[in-house]
Amino acid sequence: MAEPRSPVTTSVPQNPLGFSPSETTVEMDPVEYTLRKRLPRKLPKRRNDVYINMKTDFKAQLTRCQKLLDGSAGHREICIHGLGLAINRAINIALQLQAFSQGALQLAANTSTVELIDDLEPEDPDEAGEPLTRTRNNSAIHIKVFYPST
Amino acid sequence: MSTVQMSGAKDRMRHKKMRNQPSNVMYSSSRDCGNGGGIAGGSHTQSGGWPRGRQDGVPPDQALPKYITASVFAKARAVEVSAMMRAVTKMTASCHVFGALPKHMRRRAMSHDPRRLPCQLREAAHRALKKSQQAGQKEKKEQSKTKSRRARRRHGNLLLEFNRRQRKNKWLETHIWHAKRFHMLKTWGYCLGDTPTYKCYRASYRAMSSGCLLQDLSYHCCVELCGPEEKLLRALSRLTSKDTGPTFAGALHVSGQREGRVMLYRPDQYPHHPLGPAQFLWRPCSVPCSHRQLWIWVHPTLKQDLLLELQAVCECFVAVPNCPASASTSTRPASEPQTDADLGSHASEPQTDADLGSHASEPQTDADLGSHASEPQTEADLGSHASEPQTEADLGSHASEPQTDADLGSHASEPQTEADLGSHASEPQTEADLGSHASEPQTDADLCSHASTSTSTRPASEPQHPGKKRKREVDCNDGTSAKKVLGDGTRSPSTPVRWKSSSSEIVISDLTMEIVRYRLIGPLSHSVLTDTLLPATAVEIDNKMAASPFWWSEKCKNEDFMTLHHRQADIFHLLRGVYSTDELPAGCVLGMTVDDPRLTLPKKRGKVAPDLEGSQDVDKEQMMNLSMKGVPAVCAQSALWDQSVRDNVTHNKISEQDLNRMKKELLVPGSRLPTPAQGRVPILLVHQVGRQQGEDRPGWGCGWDLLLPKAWGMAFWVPLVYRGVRVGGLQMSLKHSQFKGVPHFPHDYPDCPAGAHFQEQQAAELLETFKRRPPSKRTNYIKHGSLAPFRCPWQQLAEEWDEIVKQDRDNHDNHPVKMEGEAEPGGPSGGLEVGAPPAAFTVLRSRKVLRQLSVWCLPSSARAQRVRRGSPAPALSPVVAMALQREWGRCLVWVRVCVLGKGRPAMHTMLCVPTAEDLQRLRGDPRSSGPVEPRHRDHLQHLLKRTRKDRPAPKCPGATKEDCSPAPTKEQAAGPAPRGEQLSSPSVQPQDPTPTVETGSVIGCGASSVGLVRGLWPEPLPSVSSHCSRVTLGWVTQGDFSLATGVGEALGLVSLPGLLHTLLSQPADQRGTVLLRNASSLQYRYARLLVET
Repeated sequence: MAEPRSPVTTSVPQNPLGFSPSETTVEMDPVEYTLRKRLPRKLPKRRNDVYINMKTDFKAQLTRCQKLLDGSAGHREICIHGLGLAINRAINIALQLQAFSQGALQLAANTSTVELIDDLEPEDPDEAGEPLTRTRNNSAIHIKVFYPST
Repeated sequence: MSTVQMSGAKDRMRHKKMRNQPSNVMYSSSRDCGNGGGIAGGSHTQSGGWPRGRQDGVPPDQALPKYITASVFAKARAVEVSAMMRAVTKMTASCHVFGALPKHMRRRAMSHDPRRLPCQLREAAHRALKKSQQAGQKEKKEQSKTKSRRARRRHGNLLLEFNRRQRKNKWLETHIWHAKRFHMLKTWGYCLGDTPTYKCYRASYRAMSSGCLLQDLSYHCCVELCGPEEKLLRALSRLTSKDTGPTFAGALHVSGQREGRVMLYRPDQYPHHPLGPAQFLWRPCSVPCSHRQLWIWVHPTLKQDLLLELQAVCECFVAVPNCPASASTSTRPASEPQTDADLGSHASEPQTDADLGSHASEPQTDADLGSHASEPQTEADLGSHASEPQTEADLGSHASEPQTDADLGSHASEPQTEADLGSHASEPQTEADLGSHASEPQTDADLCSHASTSTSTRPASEPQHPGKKRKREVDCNDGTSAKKVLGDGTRSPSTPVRWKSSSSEIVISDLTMEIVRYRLIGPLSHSVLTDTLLPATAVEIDNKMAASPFWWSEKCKNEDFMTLHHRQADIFHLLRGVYSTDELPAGCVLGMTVDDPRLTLPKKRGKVAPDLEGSQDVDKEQMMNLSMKGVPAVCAQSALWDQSVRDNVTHNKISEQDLNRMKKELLVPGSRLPTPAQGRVPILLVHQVGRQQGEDRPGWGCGWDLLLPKAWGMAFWVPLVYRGVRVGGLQMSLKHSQFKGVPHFPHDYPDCPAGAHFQEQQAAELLETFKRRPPSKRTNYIKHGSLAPFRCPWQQLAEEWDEIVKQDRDNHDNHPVKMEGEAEPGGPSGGLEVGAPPAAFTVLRSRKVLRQLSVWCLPSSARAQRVRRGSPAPALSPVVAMALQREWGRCLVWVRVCVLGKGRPAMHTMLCVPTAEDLQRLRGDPRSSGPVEPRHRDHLQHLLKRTRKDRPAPKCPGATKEDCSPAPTKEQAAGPAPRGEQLSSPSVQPQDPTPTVETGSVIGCGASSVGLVRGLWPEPLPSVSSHCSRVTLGWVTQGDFSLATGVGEALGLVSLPGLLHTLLSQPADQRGTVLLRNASSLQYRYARLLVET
């Protein structure tokens, strides 16, 4: 596992879906069903899109963004996306980028809501218990980091 | 030195000169011949060497005779002269005729042109030439068995050859494609691609995680069950258990909407006697109908066992030889209400195929007609491929009769090809025939005779359809290029493939090799599919084409079918908008009819990218619906379920050659061909779920399975490959399940008969490769403390841990306070000697227990989160553990192991329990590399040496004992650390029986030391759990560096009591930490153990 490698780890998988224990308990008996979260629907990805997650090292993600901005790739703008728990980190990264650039970079943030799908599998695989699917919403942020056109 | 050489050279020269010396001339030094040979004897040449002067010490006065008798002397000389003359005339160097010529007159060209020789030699030369030619012809005759390459590559001969080569191990349809690119492996009755010859390990992984990987899984066997739903479910419920997850009766599965996976057991034997995993798929029914169809897909090693058990639980013992009793039912769509009645009527006549010659005169069976029409050609092919020369003869002799009949007689060996022929019992006359034969035994041979008798008795019916007959003959003539008929690798051709029940109406049929199954793995596999496949275009309904032989044009007349087809096509279009395959619900099924994909083959091989621009116009609502609910059950219907349609499609496939000809004749070169009438194929798409267990990489390795009718394999394979997929072999499917973290069938199921057999085989293979190395270069596994580097003695492990725990429990009972006094070794009760009833070990598959275990294995930090998520589990306590152990005493648990630092686990790596000090060290330095096993001593080495020295001498056991006595003492000396640990944990008791066991085993092997292999423990192994300084929990079955996580990862099995024991003794924040040690290394590595559910 990646535990020893990344000091900042949580057990939250690749998609920072956040926690929703209250929903689970309210709607159905937690003993009866196992909750399986599906991955969020992937979006088209250009070269300058960065999806922030909670699993990769913060610093690694920051350098990745930095490289995109000033490396040989030399993108004028990049988009940083964060979902759920990773919103915080996405904002952090964007601000750090701006701070390092001594004010050359500008930010433009957008928020959105993403629909996520959960599968509920019955523990008792009887004919009665039918696998359920439900949707749940989570917030997302999309930050455009760009050099203002002079 | 030079003199020695000289004399040698002289010797040789002399021998050469004397070679032709006539034997009648004697050179003896004795005087026996009076004075006849006196002078001759004077030279004394028999002594060897050239004597010069008088070296023999014979006085000269005695050597010279006083007088010579002229007559005697002359006679003797005459003999000499004649001998000399003969020697001169005889040819010297070679036996060639021109050897007689002096050297300067010989010419090289004489050897092949005798006219260059002098006249007197020509005669002899001619004779010699003729002789040599005859000899050459003999050789040539032998050679002529292997024809010229051109002849061998001729189509018919090639097919013959192919059929000969796959007599033992059957080929898949993609065999030739694979054989050019893969290392082929002959296993399970098939020839399967193992690994590609090019480097692609990492690329294949990349394809699985971000692209698409293709595999041919056609070797998996399909078993079809038909019958009333309740009866089927009741019968099948005996094979499964709800404990292990969803069964055959899951609501979504029964509706046909999802494919399910089950673990099969012998009837009513759960949790013992597992058989293996299976996938199953119910046929959806549009109208509520009790008669259902079910496909069970299993691995070929499992099939025979499964068939027997299925026959037992369904009470299907009546073998239906060769007869498609239910084929007739499947000829009609399941929605038709009369299916049941049909089944009943046909089921009572198992031998309907006797009326092969009968022709469908009813319009309703017209769809089958096409298959009939083309049937004979495959039959004819079959006969010739089966290398039965008499088939042709048969054909000739029965020329007046329809050829199918003639064929039938000679084809007792291939019963399944005539599967659909018997579906027409429309002629009363044949009915009568049937009646007369119905009561006879039903073996295949009998069937043959039946067929032939019925042909002979029924020629009267032939002239009724002269037109049909002619058509068949025509078909037969141009049908030479028919596809090869593939058999089946898992059964002999004469065994029946269909069984029916006398009491219930269940029919079991074996559809092995009837359906091609491809697996696409990776997030882009749906893009590849949407790119490759096009929903079938409808045929304009034309009344003139009323009796079209192709199934599609018949189906096009059915409006219900067409609306369904359009719905399916719509859903298929929706798939374009999906970014990744894992967005769809697990196991959903989509039935389809598609155009022949060869028509849209791209010109160049390219890569598929998800078409997201095209997805913009896709309805968001529908998209959401699809990913939430999956494909509706109705759309899972496919014509692939009908045997008649399958056969029709199989037999009407356009050959590659014809297709290319049609392409050539196109007006605009390179434009798309209009779909020919027979170019529609029913398929089934089955979604395969990705990684579900565990926390990281959810949905990894998901994909689609593509099910096709027989003979269409290559037609779909090449277009798929042209879409830029990677192709993987058996090795890659093993890696796929390893990265996915799920057990792979025969490898990781040691409790199933197939798995046990596989492990034996693997052990034998590994031992063979080990023995092939020179003894001094072999790893000495005894010194490494690896008892069984080539196999895992699971049974012994389970028993030992059972014993350990039992002793523990007893001690608990004795000292209710706590286990402090247990360091005192528990006495003479060794773990092995106890004669417990040998209950076989099993692998724990109860989901409830596994879920508990998975929570317990986590260290406290991670567990907190899990508990917060709301899965209340009893906390791990000795009481709970004890209860579990009592219930699941000899169980193994499937675990995933992630190495914490360095280390690459390999196959058969040991999983060991860390001591308290080890855990302390890990806490102090998370990057510490782990403890080291003290080197063991190979006390068998002396034994081996002695064996080699005095093998004939009988061995005295006393000496052996002396020999090995240092081993136990060293064992005790080597383990001061374990001793210390002994005091802290009760798990060490098995250590003390070690010395006794070892001596015992050594004595045992001393008696039979012939089978000793250097560096390996002889057969009766000592205690496996306590052989090393760390107690062994289990072994790894597959392990490697994981490209997915970037560290070593392994999958293995550990003993359940051992696991509980370990977890109980570990501090809460370090639970689930184990040690790994490769069989050929002394270094332990820290790893984290996870039980994933």
